[in-house]
Amino acid sequence: MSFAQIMEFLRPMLSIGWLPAAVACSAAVAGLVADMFDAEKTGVAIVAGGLAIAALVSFGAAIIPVSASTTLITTTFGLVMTGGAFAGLACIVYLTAFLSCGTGLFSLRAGSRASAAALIGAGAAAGQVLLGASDILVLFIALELLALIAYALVASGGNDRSDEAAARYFVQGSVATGLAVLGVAVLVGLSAGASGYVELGTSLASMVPGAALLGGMLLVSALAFKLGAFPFHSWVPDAYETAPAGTAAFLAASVKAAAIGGFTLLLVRLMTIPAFLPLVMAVRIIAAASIVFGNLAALKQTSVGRMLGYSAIAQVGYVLVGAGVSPISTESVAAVFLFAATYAMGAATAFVALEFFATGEPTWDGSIGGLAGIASKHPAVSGALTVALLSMTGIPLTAGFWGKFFVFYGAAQNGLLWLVITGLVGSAISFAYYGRVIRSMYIDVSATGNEVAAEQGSDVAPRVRAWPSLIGAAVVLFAGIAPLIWGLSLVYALFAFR
Amino acid sequence: MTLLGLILLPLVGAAVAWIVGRSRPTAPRFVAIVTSVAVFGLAIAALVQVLQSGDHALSATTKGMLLVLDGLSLPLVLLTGLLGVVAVTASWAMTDRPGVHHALLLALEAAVMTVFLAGDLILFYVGWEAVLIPMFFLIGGWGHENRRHAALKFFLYTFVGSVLMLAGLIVVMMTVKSTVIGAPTTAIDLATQSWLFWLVAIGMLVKIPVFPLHTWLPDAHVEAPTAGSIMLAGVLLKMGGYGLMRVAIPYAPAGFAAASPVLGAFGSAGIIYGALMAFAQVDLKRLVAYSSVAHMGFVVLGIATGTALGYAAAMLAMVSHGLVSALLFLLVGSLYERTHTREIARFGGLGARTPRWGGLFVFAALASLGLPGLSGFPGELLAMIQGFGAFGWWMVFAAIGALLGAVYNLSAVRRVVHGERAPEWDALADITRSDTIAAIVLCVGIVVIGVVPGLVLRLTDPAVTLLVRALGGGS
Repeated sequence: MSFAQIMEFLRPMLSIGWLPAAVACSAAVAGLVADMFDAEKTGVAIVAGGLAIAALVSFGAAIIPVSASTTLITTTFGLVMTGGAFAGLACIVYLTAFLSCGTGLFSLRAGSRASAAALIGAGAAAGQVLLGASDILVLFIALELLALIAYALVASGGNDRSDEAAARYFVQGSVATGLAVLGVAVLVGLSAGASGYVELGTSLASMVPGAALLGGMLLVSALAFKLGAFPFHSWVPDAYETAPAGTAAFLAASVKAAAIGGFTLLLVRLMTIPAFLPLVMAVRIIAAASIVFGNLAALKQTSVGRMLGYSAIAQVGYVLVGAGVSPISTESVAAVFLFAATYAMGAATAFVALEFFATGEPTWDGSIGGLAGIASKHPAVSGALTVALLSMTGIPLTAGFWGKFFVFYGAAQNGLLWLVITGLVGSAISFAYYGRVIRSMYIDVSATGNEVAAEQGSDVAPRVRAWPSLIGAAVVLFAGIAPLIWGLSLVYALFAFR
Repeated sequence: MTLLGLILLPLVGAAVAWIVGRSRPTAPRFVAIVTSVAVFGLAIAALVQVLQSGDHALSATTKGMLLVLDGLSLPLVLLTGLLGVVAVTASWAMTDRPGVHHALLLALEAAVMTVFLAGDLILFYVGWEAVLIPMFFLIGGWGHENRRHAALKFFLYTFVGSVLMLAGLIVVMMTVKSTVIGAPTTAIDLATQSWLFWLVAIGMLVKIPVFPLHTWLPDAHVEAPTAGSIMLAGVLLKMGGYGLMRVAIPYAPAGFAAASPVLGAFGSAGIIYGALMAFAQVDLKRLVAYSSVAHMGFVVLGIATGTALGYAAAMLAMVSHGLVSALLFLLVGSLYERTHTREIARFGGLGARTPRWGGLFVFAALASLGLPGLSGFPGELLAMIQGFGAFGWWMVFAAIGALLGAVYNLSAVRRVVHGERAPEWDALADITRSDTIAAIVLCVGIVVIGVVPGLVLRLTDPAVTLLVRALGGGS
C-alpha cells in the first residue's frame, strides 16, 4: 500500500474533528483508572500515549485536504471549528501536552502524578474546543474549564508556596471570570440571545457604540487576563515559577496556544464591527505595554521559572501585535497561529528541560546561577534548552524566527511600524535574559562541584527523561530550517485557512 | 552546486569535527583543516567559473533559496575561505574541547558564506543572525578573562542593530513585493527612502562598526580567542560594508544620497578616533582592535562617496583589512600563547629574541599603516581620492587620520619589537611553525594585492559598475 493509499484510507477518520479530543479524554479517564490500581506510572504513560495519538491525528487532519470540494474548516457540533489551521494549532496543543506528560511529571509528589496527567489530558481536549470555538458561550465554558485545571496544576507542587500562588491565581481569575460573564451577558443580551460569532456579528453591526463597546471592553480585559497581558499579568510569573516545571510546560504552552487561537478568532470577528473599532487601538497599546514591561521585568529575575513567566508576558505582546492588525486578513490570523505554535513549542521545550534539571539535580534551586556549568554534565538537555531559548528570542534557524517574522510582517503591512520596532527591539532585549541562562549553562563554572551533586542525584532522583526536551528541540530546529530548504509555503501549510 | 557546497561543506565538516572530537581530541583539527582547505578550493573553483561566465556572476536556486555570486561577493568569499584556513591553523594547538571549537569555527564560516552568497533578503537575514550564535559560544567558551561579559555584549549590541535592520527589510519586502535582492523594479518613494536607508543600514553600521556604534568591538575582539578574533575582524566586519553595498544602497539610493555626507563624516571620524584610541592603548590586542575601527573608517568613506571607484576602493580596503587584521591578530595571539600577557609595556626588544615573530610583526604594522606596495595602500588612497571628489577639503581630516595610523603602528613596533630587551622574555621561544605558515600565506596575499590591486578591482568592476548604473549615477 502506498503512502497516498494509506492517507486515502485514513481520510474519513481524520476528517472527524472531535476524534483527537475524544482520544485525549478517554486517555485521561484510562489514566485515572490505572491510578486506582496503584499503577501511577502507567497512568501517566497512558495519558501521554493518548495525547501523542491526538497530536498525530490532528497533524494528519491539518496536512490532508479532507475533501477537495469543501473547505478544510469544518464545524463539528455546529459550534467548534476543526480542520485546516485549527487542526494545525490543535496538533501543537496536543504535542506540547504530550511533552509535558512525557516527562513523567516526577517533580510532583508521588500519588498526584496520574491525576495531574489526567487533568492535562482533559485540559488539552478543552484546549481544542477553546481554539476552535465559534460560539461565545462555548468559548467561555472551555475557558473556565481550562482555568480550573490551571488552578489545580499550579497547586500541584504541594507546598505552601504553590498553594499560595494557586489561591492568588484563583482569586484573580475569579474577578476576570466575573468581567467575562458581564461582557458576554452584555453582548449576548444586545444581540437578542444570539451567541454564535456569525449571528453576534450581524446583529451587533447595526448597534450604536456605547453599550456594545462596554461589553467588548469587559471581554477584552478578561481575555487579556487569561492571556497574561499587561496590566493583567501579575499571576503569570507566580504561576510559572511555583508550578512544577512539567505541568508549567502545559500551562505555558498548550493552554497559551489554545487561548491565543480562540481569542484571536473572537477578536477578529469583533473588530470588524464598527462599534468595536476603538478596541483595536486598545489591543495595540496592550501589546506594546506587554512587550516593554515583560522584557524589562524579565531582565532582573534570578529564577528561571519566574524569568520565563515575565518573558511570557512579552510573548503575549507579540501575539497582540498580530491580533491588533486591522482590518485583519486570513494571512494575519495564520501568522498569529504560527507564532502561537512556535512560542508554544519553545516554551514547552524549555519547561520540560527544566523538569529534567529539577528532578535530575535535586540540589538545583531553580535559579539561573544554579545552572552554572550544567552543560558539561547534561549536554543534550542543555542543548535542547538553548534551542528553545534561541527560538523564543526569535533567532533564525529556529521556528521562533518564522513566527515573529510573519507577525511583524503583517503588522508592517498594516502601517504599524512603531509596533514592529517596539517588538523587534523587545526581542533583542530578550536575549539579555535568555542569553544569561545559556551563558550560565555553557560558560560559567559551577561553584558547588558537580561530582557531589551527581552522586546525590543518582541516589534520589527517579529515572529522569531527556527525550521530551529533545523531541521539542528537534521540532523547533526542523521547523526553523525546513522552510529554507523547501520554501516558505511549508510554513503556511499547517496554519493557513485553506 | 559550487555555491551550495560553499555553505554545506563547512557544515558537514563541523558535524564531523564535533563527532570525532568526542573520542579523539587530536582528530578535529585535521577534519577542520581538510574542510577549510576544501572550502577555499571551492571558492577558487567558483572564481574560475565566474571568470568564465559571460555575465560575471553565478547563481543557484533551490526551492527555498537563491544563491548569487558576483563581483561584490566574490572577493569576500575568497577572503572568507582563506581566513577559514588561517583560523584553523591559528588554533592548531587548541586542547580545550577542540572538537566543539573547530565545529563552531566551521559553522561560523558556513554562516558567513550564507550572508555573502544570499540572493534573497530572508536568507541574507538568516545568515546574518546565524553568525552570532557560533561567535557567541566561541567568545564565551574559549575567550580570555572577561569573556562572560564580552560574549553577551557582543551578541546584544549587534542583535539590536540587526533587528532594526530586519524592520527595514520587512518594509522593503512589502514595498517591492519581492524578497529577491536587487535593484527594485518600482522605486520606493523618496520620503520613505530617507528613513528606510538608516533603518536598514543601522545593522550594518553596527557590524562595520562605524565610529559612534563601535563600542562592542574592543571588548569582543580582545576577549575572543585568536581564531575568533581572526574571523571577527577579518570577515565579520566585512558583512557590514557588503550589506551596505548589496542591500541598503540599492533599495534606498535617494536615502543613501542624502545620508552620504553623514556617512562620510562618520567614516572620517572613525579613522581619526580609531587611530587615536589605538595609540593610547596599553594592551597590544586592544590596539589592534582599535586599528580595525580606523581601517573600517576608510571602507565607510569609500562607500559614502557613491562612485564606482569609491565602491571599488571600499572592496579593496575590506579585502586588505581582512588580510592585515587577521595577520595582526594571529601574531598577537601567538605572542599571548607564549607570554600570557598582552601588556605592551612588558615587551621590548622582541625583534632580537624572536626574530621571526618580530619580522612578521614589523611587516604587519607596515601593511597596517598603508605602506605603498602593500595591500593597505591602494584601497585607502583610492577611498581618499574619491572622498576629495565627493566631500572636498573635509578629507584633510581623513588624511590626518591616515597619518596617525603611521604613528600608532610605528610606536607599537618601537615599543614591542625594538627598544630595550625585557629580561623577562630571555627564554621566549619564537613563533610556532603552524602560525608561521599561516602568517606567510597572509603576507603573500598582502604583497600580491599591494603590487597588483587590479586583481581585486577586475573582479569587482562589473558589479560596482552595475550598482552605480542602477543608482542612476556615473563615474
